[in-house]
Amino acid sequence: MSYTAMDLHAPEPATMLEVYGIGQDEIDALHAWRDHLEEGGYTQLVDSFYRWLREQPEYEEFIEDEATEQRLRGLHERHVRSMAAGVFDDAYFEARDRVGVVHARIGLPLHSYLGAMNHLTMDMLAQVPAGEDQARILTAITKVGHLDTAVIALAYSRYASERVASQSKALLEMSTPVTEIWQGVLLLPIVGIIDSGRAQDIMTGALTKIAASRARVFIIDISGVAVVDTAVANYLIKVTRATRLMGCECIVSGVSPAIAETIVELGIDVGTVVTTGTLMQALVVAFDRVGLRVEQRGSR
Amino acid sequence: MSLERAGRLPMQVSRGCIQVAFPMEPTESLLRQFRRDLLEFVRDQSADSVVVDLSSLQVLDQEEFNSIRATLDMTKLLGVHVVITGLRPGIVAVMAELEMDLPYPAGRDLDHGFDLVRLHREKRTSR
Amino acid sequence: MSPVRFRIADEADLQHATAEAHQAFLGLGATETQAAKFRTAVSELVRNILKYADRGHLVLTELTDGHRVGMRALVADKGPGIADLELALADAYSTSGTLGLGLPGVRRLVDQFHIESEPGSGTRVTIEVWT
Repeated sequence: MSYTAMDLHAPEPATMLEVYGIGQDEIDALHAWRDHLEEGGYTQLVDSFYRWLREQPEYEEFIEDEATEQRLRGLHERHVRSMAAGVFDDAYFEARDRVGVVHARIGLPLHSYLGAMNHLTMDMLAQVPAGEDQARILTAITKVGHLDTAVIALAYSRYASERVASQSKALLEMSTPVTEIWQGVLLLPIVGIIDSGRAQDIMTGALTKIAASRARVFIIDISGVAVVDTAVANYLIKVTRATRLMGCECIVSGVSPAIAETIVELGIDVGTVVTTGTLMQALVVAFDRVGLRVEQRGSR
Repeated sequence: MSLERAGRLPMQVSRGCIQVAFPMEPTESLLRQFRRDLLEFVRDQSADSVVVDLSSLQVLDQEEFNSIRATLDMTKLLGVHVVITGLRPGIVAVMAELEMDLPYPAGRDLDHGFDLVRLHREKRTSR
Repeated sequence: MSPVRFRIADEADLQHATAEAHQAFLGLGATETQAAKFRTAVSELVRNILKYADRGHLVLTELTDGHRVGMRALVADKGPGIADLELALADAYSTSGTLGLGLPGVRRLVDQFHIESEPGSGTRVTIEVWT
């Protein structure tokens, strides 16, 4: 299943180029610019960029030594060269996407990255020679600068949302602890939401534990579950059916009046599933099933 | 022990068994209140069973039947044993005719209802 | 408060949107039971989008009639639509088993229920609840 709330993949290259108004005219203009850059322009761009970068507060934090800077200078020049080459194929977009993810992963703030992009674009515009092509080239560079910015910003947000998703997934997995609370009695308290992924985790966790512990009763406590609609109820009914096939009776405890109302109003047939309002009631039933009786000491 | 509360329909609990009478002249709002009160009462008491006396029912339309059936089903979901008592012959005839079923143990009167609760408890503990 | 719109495209959207619906109604002074019923109704409708239409949206609007307050939820998609509305709304209370779209259940959970659907052009369900 997908945990991401938004589709953060950049659209198809063709769509992006259309949105940013980049066509043959722009590519021709970039080629005219490239011919001019071949006379030492790339080196000037890279030098200017790193002169600026050394004054930024992020420089010391992210660039540890001279060797790193040399390596990055090479990558930087390649990046500018591919902008000027005007070949906007899948590889072009993938490279920018990768750059975005790398910078997001090292924790460079997005505004710092975009600030650097802005500085680079300004430098590139300053490298446009006067002449009849000047206006066309300026337009083309501006458009490509914006295109690159968009692709990289998308990569940043995708990385952030994937991280949130994987964190919440980890949290969900941690929060389905099946515990043997008495010999033959298992308890799984569920807190929060039940979606299809978590239902799967619950099912697997429950069945594995039942097989290992040879439990007779499995209690699912849903007092912490936010909403029980048809789909959630069906997950629960499925689990109870599966546990029964393992020779283990399932009790769903923690059914509040509100949940009882919604289940019945929705017309959900819980069939033979044993439900209780409180965990205490479920424990009474469970002890009864395993042949135990809890008594006040000294009574009778 | 009587636990009648201002605004709440009369309900009592005795030896772990809740006893409640279905309201006379059940209007829509009274049916709603009956449901809410019963569910909250079951939640708040540590009872294992409920005897719902339906002897006040004089007529029964589909709407009322659905409401009663739903209320009983909800009560059962809270984990208590539900027993109904006092259905009049006329009502039962209508229910049979219209294929309305209340799938709960039914007693002739309250005494019979309590007997059914006791039987259920004995069966449970003798397993 | 002006209407709030949520996009619905996956299960995470569903959880987010229904939690917001719940909070919004509680914020208007609804009881926990009222809010739970509203949330469940919205959840059912939003799940139908994921099951049948892939994507759609939810719009939550606060209501007032001068005496009471309430919430309206509009759940809309451009999916396949419902061919036989009467059948989809038919109450299957006495029969057990699957319940199709769950629309009769949703109708029971709310105060007002309105549905428009055209095969091929989508479905719009509007529900209203009052405190």
